[in-house]
Amino acid sequence: MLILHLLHKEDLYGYQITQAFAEKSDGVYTILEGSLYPILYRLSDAGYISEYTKLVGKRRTRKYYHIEEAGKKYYASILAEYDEIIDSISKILDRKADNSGE
Amino acid sequence: MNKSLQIEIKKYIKEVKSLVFCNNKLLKEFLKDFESDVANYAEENNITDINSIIQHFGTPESVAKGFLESTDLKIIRKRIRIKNVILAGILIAVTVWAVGVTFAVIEGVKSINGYSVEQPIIENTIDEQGDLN
Repeated sequence: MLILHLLHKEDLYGYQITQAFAEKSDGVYTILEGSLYPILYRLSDAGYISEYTKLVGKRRTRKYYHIEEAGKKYYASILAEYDEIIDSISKILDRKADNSGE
Repeated sequence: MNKSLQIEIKKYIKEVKSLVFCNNKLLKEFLKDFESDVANYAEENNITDINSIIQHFGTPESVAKGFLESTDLKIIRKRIRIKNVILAGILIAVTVWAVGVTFAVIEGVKSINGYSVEQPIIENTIDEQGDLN
């Protein structure tokens, strides 16, 4: 879901995704390349994302990932599911939705 | 990127390769993507030594661990099954070859000792009258 969220905004390459995870979570949540790529391959196999290669400099290439329409729909569905789960957990913990506690 | 760092990166990728166990297509794709990320990181941050890369991307063991933990178990199981079938095939072939060699050696030893048992070939023919000879 987090990868799809990042790709929802712009096309990114692998290293950029790992950096975005670290930056957005203030270094709390990191994802290593080893863990990232199998997820990207699965999303790609499912048709949720696609990939294209861009030439950088003279020899280097970067593989960018792009979210597809099916991916946007899937993202919306799992985001709704996520909200529902968080809401239910908050109720169990007797916490308000804004996480302010009681 | 300097030449020695390029060599060190190749070694680093090779170490990751030796630790990852999945189908070849997936492994090749991952190693290519991972190497590209490492090279991009080294170029963009003017990295000159492999330790900075290991510090950023993790040891080969942690890279492989992350990959295997995120990979579908079915893919790994399939690879293990294929490997087992290949090993069983090799084992059967080696056993058949060993048995053949053992018989050949036994026959050879018998010949050296001055005797060997040969099965006489008996041919039955039918003469013009139709009697069996």
